[in-house]
Amino acid sequence: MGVGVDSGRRPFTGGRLGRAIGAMSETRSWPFLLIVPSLLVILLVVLYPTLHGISLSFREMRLTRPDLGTGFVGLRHYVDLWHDDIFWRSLANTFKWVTLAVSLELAMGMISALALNREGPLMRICTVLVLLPWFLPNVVAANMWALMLDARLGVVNELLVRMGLIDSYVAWFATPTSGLLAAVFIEAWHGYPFFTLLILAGLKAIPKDLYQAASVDGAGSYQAFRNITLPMLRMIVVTAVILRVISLANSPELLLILTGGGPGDSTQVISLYAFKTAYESFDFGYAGALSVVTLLLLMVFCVIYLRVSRVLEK
Amino acid sequence: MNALAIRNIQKSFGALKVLNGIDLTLEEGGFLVLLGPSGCGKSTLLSIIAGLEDASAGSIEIGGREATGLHPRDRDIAMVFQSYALYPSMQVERNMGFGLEMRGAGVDERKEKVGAAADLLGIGALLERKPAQLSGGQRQRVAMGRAIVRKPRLFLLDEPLSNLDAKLRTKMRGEIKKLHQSLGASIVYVTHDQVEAMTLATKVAVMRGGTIEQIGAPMTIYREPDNLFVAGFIGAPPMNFVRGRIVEGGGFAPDGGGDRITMPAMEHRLEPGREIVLGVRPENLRPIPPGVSPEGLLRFNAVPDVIEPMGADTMVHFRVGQSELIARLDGQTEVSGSAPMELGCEASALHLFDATTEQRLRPA
Repeated sequence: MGVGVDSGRRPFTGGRLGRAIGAMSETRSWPFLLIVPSLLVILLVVLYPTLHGISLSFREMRLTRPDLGTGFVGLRHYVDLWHDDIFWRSLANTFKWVTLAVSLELAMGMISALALNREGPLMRICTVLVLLPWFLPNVVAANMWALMLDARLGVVNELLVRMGLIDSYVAWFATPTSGLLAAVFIEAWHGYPFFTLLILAGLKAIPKDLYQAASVDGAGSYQAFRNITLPMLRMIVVTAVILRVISLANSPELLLILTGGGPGDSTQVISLYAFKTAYESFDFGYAGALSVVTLLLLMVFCVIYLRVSRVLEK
Repeated sequence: MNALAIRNIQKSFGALKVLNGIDLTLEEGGFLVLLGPSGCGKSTLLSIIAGLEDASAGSIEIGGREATGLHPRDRDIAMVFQSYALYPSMQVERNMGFGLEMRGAGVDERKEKVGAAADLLGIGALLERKPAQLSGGQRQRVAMGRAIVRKPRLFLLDEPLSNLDAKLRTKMRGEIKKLHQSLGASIVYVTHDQVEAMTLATKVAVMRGGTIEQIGAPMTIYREPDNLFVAGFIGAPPMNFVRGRIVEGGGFAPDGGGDRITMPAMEHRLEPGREIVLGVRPENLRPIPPGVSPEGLLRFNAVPDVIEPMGADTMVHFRVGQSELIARLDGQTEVSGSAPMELGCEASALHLFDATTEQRLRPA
């Protein structure tokens, strides 16, 4: 017998539906059809809430004052915002919080990725260990550290006292500066593996012979880092910073658990202020306005940041 | 003075020995080609010369100066990589001048030297571009330019043409040869392509399994290969081999049967019963007209299996005993299908190897 055994059946083509899909995949509308499902999901869970939030910001909705109704109030919330000291303080705190935390995370991520990129027998295990904090949910990480830094029974205080670095237990979250710094430290500890992971992937993609060429050209390790590593990582760093800034500016849970915005309003950031306005004061209209402002600020940040990094590239 | 002197270089990766004691020298202005199949250790040897890898043992002198253990930047070398390894974020001009920049040269000096090298290579118009905006051939030129800008003692080229298409490869091969002649530079060049080795080198080192099988001028290696490996590696199409034994009366009986072959008178002492390998280059075979029996020729009775007319040449495939042979005949030669023909080879063009040691048999 030759090649090709004829079993008397036609080859499987997937029936009528299969043939219809096959025919459709040849048409120009196919890419758009493929996008439709995710587009529907985005419309449902992103666009609708966003539009609803924006519309809320122009209306009254206080659950504690049902008598005020839910009518249209124009720009009143925005005018109130303008005169709200807590808003301005939150804005400044957000800036401090995001800048400090993201810078620290980027630095730690870069250093750990450079270290993990070296060849060695324990590097695989170390990579997993470094990534561990990232596996913890925000809430778990925050509660864990709140306990470890506790002013009366925290293990950190105990260790520092035993090592003779401090005389007695410190209430880390009791002063504005130490409270913010402690929160930044915890956030950085929790978030830096995100940078490690992305930067490590970027480092692995840099061809080795570039470093060999640089070494023949006479470049030392710092010059190789500046002239090869950094430029090759630029896109990854830009992307990671944008993602991280957005996620930090939007998530209040870490500060909510650690400081609740205090002492005073020293760690009150906009997302936390909006959260408390909505779910403690039940003023959804005002919280909506706070969220819209956050959205606009983040959009402005992204545009400026992309422009600046593109200018730097040239 | 030697541009390069290597003594007893060895390299092992764990239990795996990659280089087993390499010795070689390259005179000033010479062009040394390290030739061998992949995995023979030629690229590792180049990396060791460059200082990108450390040898397990042995010493290296570059330009008469001890270089063993020196950092690559202190060896006064330049290297062209197989992938070109151009810095993606830098324009061509900075790419070419980077070595000078790292050595503290001023802006004017860099501009001048890069400009001169770019003119030499015909890439003056590309200086503002980034590597991603260049074609393969242009990248190759920039990589060459980056190497010549610094005027080093020694150029190291690692398969620089292997990423180019056939036509461009031939063109760039010619340009490298021209560059070598005009710069008078000393070059070590790694390749697995024997045509590049033959056309470019003043000296070829044929490598296999971490050792140098033969080193010498290209034509010497072509004419007098030391062993079967070198004989088979140099030349395209490769040398024909026929295994067999010497019989009483000076004849040769190929393994696997077939006609006995009358050996021409040779200076070798070949006692009957000795197993040898006959080597004949395809281009040394020529047809013998019927009825003529010239003296001093080794003659094969050939029945062509396949005939490949290539224009200038005609390749004729035929069998002797178990061996498949190729004759490269003049394109004008009339060769017809399965008609037997007689092919002959001058005794002087005949290569004899010992069948066991695979070494060349030299006249007694």
